[in-house]
Amino acid sequence: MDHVQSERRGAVDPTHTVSRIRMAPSKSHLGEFEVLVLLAALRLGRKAYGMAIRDEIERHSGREVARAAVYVTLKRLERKGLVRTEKEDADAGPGVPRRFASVTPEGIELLRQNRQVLNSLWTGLAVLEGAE
Amino acid sequence: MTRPSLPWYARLLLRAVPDEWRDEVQAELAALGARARRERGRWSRHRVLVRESLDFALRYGWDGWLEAQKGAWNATEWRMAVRSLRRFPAVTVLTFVTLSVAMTVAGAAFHLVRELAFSAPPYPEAERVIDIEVVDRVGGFPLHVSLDDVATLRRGLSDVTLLGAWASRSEMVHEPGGALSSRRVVFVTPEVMEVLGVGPLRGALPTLAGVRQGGASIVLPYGLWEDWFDGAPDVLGRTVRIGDVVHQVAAVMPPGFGFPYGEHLWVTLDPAEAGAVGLDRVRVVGRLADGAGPAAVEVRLRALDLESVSSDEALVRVVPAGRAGNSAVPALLLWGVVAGLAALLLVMASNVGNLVLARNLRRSKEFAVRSALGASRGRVVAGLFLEGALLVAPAAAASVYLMATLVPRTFGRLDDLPIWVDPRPDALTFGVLGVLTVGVTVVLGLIPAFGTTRGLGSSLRAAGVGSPGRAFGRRARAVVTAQLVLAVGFLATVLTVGRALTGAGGALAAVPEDRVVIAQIYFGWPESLQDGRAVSPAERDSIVEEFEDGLRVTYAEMRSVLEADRAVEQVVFASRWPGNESLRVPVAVDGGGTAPAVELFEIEAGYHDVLGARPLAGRSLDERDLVEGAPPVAMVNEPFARAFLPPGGAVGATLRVDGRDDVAYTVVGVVPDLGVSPGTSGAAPGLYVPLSPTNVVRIGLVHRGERSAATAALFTHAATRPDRIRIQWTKSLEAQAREPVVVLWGLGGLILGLGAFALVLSAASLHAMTSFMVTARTREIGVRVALGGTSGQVVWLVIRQAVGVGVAGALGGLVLANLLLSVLRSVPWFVDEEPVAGAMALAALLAASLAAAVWLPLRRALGVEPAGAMRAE
Repeated sequence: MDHVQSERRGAVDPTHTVSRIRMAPSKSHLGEFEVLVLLAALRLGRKAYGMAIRDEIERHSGREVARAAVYVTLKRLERKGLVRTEKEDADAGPGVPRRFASVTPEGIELLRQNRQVLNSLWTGLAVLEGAE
Repeated sequence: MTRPSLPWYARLLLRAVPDEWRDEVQAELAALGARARRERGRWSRHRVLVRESLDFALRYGWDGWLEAQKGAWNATEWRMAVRSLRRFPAVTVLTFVTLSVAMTVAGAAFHLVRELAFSAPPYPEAERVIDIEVVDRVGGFPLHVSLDDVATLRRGLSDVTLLGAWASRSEMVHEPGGALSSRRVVFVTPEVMEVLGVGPLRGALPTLAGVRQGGASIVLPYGLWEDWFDGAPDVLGRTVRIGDVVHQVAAVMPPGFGFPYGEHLWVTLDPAEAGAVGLDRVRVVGRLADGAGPAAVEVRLRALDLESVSSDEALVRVVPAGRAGNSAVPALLLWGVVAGLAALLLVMASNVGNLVLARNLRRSKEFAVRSALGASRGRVVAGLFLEGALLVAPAAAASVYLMATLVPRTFGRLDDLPIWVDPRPDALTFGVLGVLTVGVTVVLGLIPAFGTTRGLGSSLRAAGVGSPGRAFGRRARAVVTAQLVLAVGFLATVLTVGRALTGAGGALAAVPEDRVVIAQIYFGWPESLQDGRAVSPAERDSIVEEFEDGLRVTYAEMRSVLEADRAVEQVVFASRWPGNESLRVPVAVDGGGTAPAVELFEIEAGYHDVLGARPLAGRSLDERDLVEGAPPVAMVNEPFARAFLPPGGAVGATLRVDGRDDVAYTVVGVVPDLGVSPGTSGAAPGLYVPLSPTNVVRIGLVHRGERSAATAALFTHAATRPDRIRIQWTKSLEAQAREPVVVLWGLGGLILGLGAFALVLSAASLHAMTSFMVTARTREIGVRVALGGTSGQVVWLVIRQAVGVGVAGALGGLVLANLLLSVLRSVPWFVDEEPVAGAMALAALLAASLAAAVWLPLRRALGVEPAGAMRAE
């Protein structure tokens, strides 16, 4: 509430401004599925292409993933600059050349931040401790 | 190893995927489809591919839309969309009109078919109401059973708890307001209303005992209670005169109730009196007992011995009321109409899509510039989508308005619709219209947008004309050809049918307007021949002869009395007048061939004077020809004389009518073609012979200007005669002659309108296609001209495509027209003597449309200067 009021008055809260600068760009918001795609791409390394990423997510999460969702997400991550994609050489092997994805340093940085946020939120929640 | 392929719809949907990913996605889905086919069969492959490719299209479409929303999505986008719609006004207007018509027709067809085929009859537990149908084994037309048989059925059918008998006929009804009208009256035994299970809104349903004691006997439908009595509460006991019998109102049925298909007057039928009033043949309805099915009843029914129906001639079957009600309009025919309309609308919609695509392709430079300035493909697509939505929204609004106003008014006029058909569109129909709108917006907004912006962003070469242009050309040609086939097919059919209808509707031009009233009169039948009494053939002949002599006297009496009335100028009896049902017989010409189907009319002297027809050769029939024992003479119409009699030798020829072979009619005159029966063309052969007395006759009254006075004179005379002759209906000749044709005209008008519309759309598309082609090949044309190409070569280059499409469309259209006409020819009353009449007019129309379509692009192509064209590139 204070933040809102101070913004309305035009006053500047230095800490709030810093946090807004760090969180403001749209690419800094990662959806759950975006996180999964980034992590799967990291795990696959140089073999990360659409279907392989999908299989990787399905293997770990145990849930079915729509093919289109993976491709649309890769496209969106590329637009945000978190993933770079490159088509393999036409003579690399049989079949249609695939487009491989690699996570950019910005993407890795954002994943780190994401983990920090999650860790800090998880820490100290007694109700979740020992649930297993 | 061959790579698995993708069906066309998947390739179409996957256009939404960005170029750089598309090959990979297509390969993945093709492999997925191949696996599904291997493991679970062909349909499984399609199911998987539809699901997956649709998922891709929707997700990428949504993603593009969201992307476009970011940043400066403001009034500028709207202004740009509106401006681009104004830049191509012809496309905008054509799209609006096409979509409005298409969505209205689709919505209306959906609503009507749903109401007709799927809504239930308005009776409680309607599935238990059965109709016991007796139909002729050969012709399939309904037969009626005797009341004795109804008693047999009651005794023999234990699975049927209630059984009612009914019959209907047209009667002259004296409305409480004083007007006289002919309307269908349904005579029902008291059980019928119990079978239907609907109680009255007011009063109590009549009982047999009550009616026999002189109690109230008529049940009013809700609509007539409102119309005739203004919904007065004291309607019970008031009187309605039907023919010469006065009935008291016993009850009023609730709104929405109808039997058999619609609101009628229901008069209680007393089986004991039925024979006396000519209602001894009836139809039967019943209510099934709990747990009984129609099939079981049908088995029992066939084991019963009905005296009035021979099992060799008739088929007895049990039909649940719902289906009986709907059988009035065969469901197959309905779905056929809907499928035909859907095909036409689909082609129209694709054509509109093509127009939009052509418009977009002309703007590819604009998109390339926007792309170079930083607009993503998604943003350009979103802009185009907005334009699509701006095109569709007003069309959707117009079709909602038309559905809410015009459609109920049009359907509401159709009397023969089952009562439970509500012509007002409901929430579901509007919902379907909404879904249609969304679908059309997506198709019109997204597919051309994706098609146009393919490769945009990756290369500025899109500013020129690349692969999308060629793809557009191929698809557009296919769509325009398909549309021309439909347009030419419909127009050729309707022009042929139109000629036939003009013959029927237009031949009465000579009749003084509204000066003739036609009435059908029933003179009864000798009592000694009724009720199947056993008489020898000789006795029978003598009874019939005596009856016919009596009829002659009756005709003469009626004529003298009516012609003495000052309202009546002339009276003529005849078996049929133009507009009555068709009666065709084979006629043999002595010394010549046989005419297989000649319209036969039995007439009196003066018949042709009443119709305003003067003999073209010879003379008309006169009084001498009608005297008993006079030499048999006949008149023929001009088409008959032309087709079957020697030129100039028609008068004096001798004819024999099938079934009366011992009579040789001598032709004494030839009359012009009078349009002999509904639906027949103006050129059907007709034969007029003197009237022999018959117990059903149509009397023609020429009045002196007061139609109601002449009709009243007829009714007064009928009421005062000692014999119980019955006037079954009266109509003006004009109305009668045009009545059956009106529906056909309406249908013809609809097809003509759709055909003409399809032709205009085809021309517009062809224009867009040719114009696009000239733009794309400007450089090539310039080079050709520079190298000495003549104007003729340039003209051929430009019109080649249009000519190809036109020829293919015309040929396909003629094939379609012949198919449609062969279907129409199977309708009994439809005759046409020329397979594709009006072909010349249609060819001229088609050529004019094509010429108009290519005119502007051709002028542009002929104006190309070589130097300028090469610099432009």
